[in-house]
Amino acid sequence: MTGNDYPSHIHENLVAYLDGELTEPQTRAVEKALSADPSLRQRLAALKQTWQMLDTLPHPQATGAFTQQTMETVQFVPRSHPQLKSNWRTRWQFLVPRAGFVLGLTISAALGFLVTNRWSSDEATLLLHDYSVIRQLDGLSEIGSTEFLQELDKSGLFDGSQ
Amino acid sequence: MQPVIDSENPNAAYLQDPHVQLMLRTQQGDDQAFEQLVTAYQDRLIGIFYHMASDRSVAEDLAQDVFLRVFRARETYTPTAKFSTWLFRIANNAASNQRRNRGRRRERSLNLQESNPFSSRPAERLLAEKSKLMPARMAATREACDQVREALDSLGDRQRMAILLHRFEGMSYADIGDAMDMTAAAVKSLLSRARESLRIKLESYVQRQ
Repeated sequence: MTGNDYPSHIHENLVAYLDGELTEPQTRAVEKALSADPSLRQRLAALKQTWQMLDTLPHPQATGAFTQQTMETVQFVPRSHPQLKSNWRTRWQFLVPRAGFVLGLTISAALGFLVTNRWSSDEATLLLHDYSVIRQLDGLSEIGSTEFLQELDKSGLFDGSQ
Repeated sequence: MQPVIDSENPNAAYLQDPHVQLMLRTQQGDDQAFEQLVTAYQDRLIGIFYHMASDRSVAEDLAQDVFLRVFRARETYTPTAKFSTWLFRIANNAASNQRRNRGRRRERSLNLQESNPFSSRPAERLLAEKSKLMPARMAATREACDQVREALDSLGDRQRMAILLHRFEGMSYADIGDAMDMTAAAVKSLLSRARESLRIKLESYVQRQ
């Protein structure tokens, strides 16, 4: 069998054989064909040689300003908050604590308003109830005790009978 | 800085890729991490595009376009493979777009002649050789380079890209398939035809050596 008489997959597998990309059975098949046919071995050697010739190609490198220019260019790309990825789980983790804080603040403010509003209304009502006493507080403070007032009331001195 | 861990799959092998880690840090707003990626891949991208487009300025433009696409994609980036595979998939798409924009016509820029010390028009090269201005060995290398470049340019774009990714990036058939949206078997067939074409094109030159 000459090099051109082999099935097409043998020719196709020559390159993959050089690249180490064949399975074990495929490798054995290629090596069996190579060992039996000098023209196939010659083709393999030519493939290997032309492959290595690619190393003569130049490898251009980036100019000194390339990195800086690239970084300057990406600065114009719109940016969102680094935590606001289009990942629902991450968004949820970001929003829930903040929403909880706002809710707690709102509830605290409402409770505080209710408490202070109730205290101030009780105080005002109490003051209105005791207004008559408060108005005469200075005079009443000279009396000393309520028992004295009760004795005066029983004595009849102020009822006009005497 | 501590490596970023994917809590859903903390043991995924690709997370050991340092460039995947840099991309995840870029995702979190770390511009220095992105700059490290640019530095790591700029020469490799420019090299690939240079041999695809045969023009250094076009190669740099394409490379910068790729980095811009990478940066734009940072917020939705989810590592499912090696970073280089993902990057060169973007590069392959950029090269395809560039080919479509330019049509089938391929131009060679004069910049190629100025910036590439190994590239010279045949007439100039012969003149230089005859004038004994360059050592014989350097002339032989330049001739080999010209022959290889001509053979490479004769290949189809997909064959050329597969050759470049395999030879200069050392990518496996599977990784090339990921980058070029092909199966590994299709890559094997593509590379086989491409390298057979190279062998035939360079056969006469090799025999003269």
